[in-house]
Amino acid sequence: MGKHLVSWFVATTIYLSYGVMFIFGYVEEFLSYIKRKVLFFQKKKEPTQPVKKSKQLASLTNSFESFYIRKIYAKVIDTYNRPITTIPGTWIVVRDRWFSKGIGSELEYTGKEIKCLNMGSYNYLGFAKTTGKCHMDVIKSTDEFSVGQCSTRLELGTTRIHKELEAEIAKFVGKEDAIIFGMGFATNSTTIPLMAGKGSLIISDSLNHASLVCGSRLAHAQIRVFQHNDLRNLERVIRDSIIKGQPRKNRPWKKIIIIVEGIYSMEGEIAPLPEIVRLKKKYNCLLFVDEAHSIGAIGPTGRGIVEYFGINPDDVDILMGTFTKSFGSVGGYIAGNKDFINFLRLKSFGALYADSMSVPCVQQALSALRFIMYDKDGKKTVEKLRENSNYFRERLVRMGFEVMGDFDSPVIPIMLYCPAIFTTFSRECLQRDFVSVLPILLDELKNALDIISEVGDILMAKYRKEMNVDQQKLLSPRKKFEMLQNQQQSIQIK
Amino acid sequence: MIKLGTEGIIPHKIEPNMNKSVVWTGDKFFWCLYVFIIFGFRIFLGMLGISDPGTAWTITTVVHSFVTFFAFHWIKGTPFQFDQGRYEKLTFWEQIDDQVQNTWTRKFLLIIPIVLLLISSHYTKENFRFYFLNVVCSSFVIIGKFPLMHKVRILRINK
Repeated sequence: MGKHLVSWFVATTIYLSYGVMFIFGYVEEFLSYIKRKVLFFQKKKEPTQPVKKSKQLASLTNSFESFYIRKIYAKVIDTYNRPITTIPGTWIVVRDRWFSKGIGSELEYTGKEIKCLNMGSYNYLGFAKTTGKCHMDVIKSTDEFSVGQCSTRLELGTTRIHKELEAEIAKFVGKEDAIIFGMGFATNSTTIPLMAGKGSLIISDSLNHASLVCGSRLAHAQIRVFQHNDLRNLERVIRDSIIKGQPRKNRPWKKIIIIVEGIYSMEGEIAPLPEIVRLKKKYNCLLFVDEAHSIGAIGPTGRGIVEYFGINPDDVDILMGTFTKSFGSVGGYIAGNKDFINFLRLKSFGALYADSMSVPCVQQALSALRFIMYDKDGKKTVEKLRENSNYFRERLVRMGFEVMGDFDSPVIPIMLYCPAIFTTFSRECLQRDFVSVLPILLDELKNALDIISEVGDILMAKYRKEMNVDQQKLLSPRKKFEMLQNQQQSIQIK
Repeated sequence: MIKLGTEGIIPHKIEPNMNKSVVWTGDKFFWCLYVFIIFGFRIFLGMLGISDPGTAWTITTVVHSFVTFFAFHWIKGTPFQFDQGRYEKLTFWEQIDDQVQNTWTRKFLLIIPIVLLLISSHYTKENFRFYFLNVVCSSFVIIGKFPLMHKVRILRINK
């Protein structure tokens, strides 16, 4: 939502905060280094005995490489990876932890369990629950097929239910065929190496997920990065690569694949897909869209970013998604042409060497998918999600917070920048029984907004309070695209 | 309003700079803050009671040289593990702007110690000891920033 602009005062405090943390970290490192040398000099026994020089091995990590984790992350680690004891529904029970011997030491449980409002899960449509039709279907399928198939897809791991899910998901996203894998990360990292072999080029967004980066690195293709959601930069990178060709002999590329995500999980931004499709057609590239967060969450019937922008699914060559977010299951899928999917079925590492997806998980995804597609309340659930996220986002923007991402996206990050502020925000919110999937009830949303506002006032985190909320910024990407199209049409008519 | 964005696109390359530990040096706000801190330190010395400007500027120059030599030319690599040792042998100065020489960031960071040296040498014209100290300390820092010293390790120190 626009560039990140803050006032001088806030910028100074942010730099000072980071500077102080780093300086204190360096001083601590230096002092512990001196202490070790002094102990060695005095020939006292050190806590860890140094290995004799003849048996010395190379160290696993450089001490400076792990500096950030040991000195800075270790001080705020209680706000990350909070253990929970219930399903990640609207209300969640968190086990409280605190440092055992002062900040920076190991964490230990205090024994308290806090019931909190959950705003931090990917449970967008609320399918992660232990009651209801999905749950009964899952139990029935476990009775019929047992928990695991103990085999890979190519051997004995494909069941009727796997085939049903593949057919349904292909129909859902509008492609000819699909293949499913047991793990979302593995979907990307085991299939991208097959798509981009030697002599091809992968152009990926700078903020792509680790699974896409991992898959791209395993491929024997060249990788080039473009500025996040910056189409001018993307076009420049494409043109530059096509003009220069392959690295040493400047031969033309065998294929160029552009990898983007539908909704970026950390920024909440929606990729400008219509323009990317236009660029792709202009320069004859292939397009891979990772819809991990957008499938089931945006679009009028939840069919993802392709339906949201009204693009023909044939224009996007490869559609990837996961069942972890909106369907309450695990695993991922890739949808595309029949030939391509058959090739993946025979050759991808996920199908050849990894175990097939566990049948209860497949059934859960299948039941959730069928609910969204065919049930009379399916479309309503997706609508509700969109309304709730837009309401929440608009209220936060009007409060004066710096909210990232676009409207219609269910991921709503608030930028707090300063490490002191965001850790205190997290701890204060936990004290107020609030942990940062959208809840379905509007009252709970309002309660959540009050808590966020209160904590934001205490920490002076409302960076945009003095700025007028520009009406233009409250538009969603879909509306902006429509306005642009109308302008273009009116110009053509003239 | 200050743009806090860290999307540093290096002038000679079209791809964004992905090195998180150095990309903030191109930020214009950092430049202002850097200059403020140096002058702030000088004023702080004045408040401590060091009335002679020569002494105060010499102290500023020497402290600045030590700190920036250690921070820019001694520390190697990045404090993050996910870089996987890509910049392990490069000092902070060499990592700036993806090893492209003569960018505006590098020019600015080169000019600062030169200006400090000029100011200090103006005030210590009579005092040879301080003048010598200034020149020696500044020379380490200034020469280390030349393009011809890129990836050069004298006598294998800090290899």
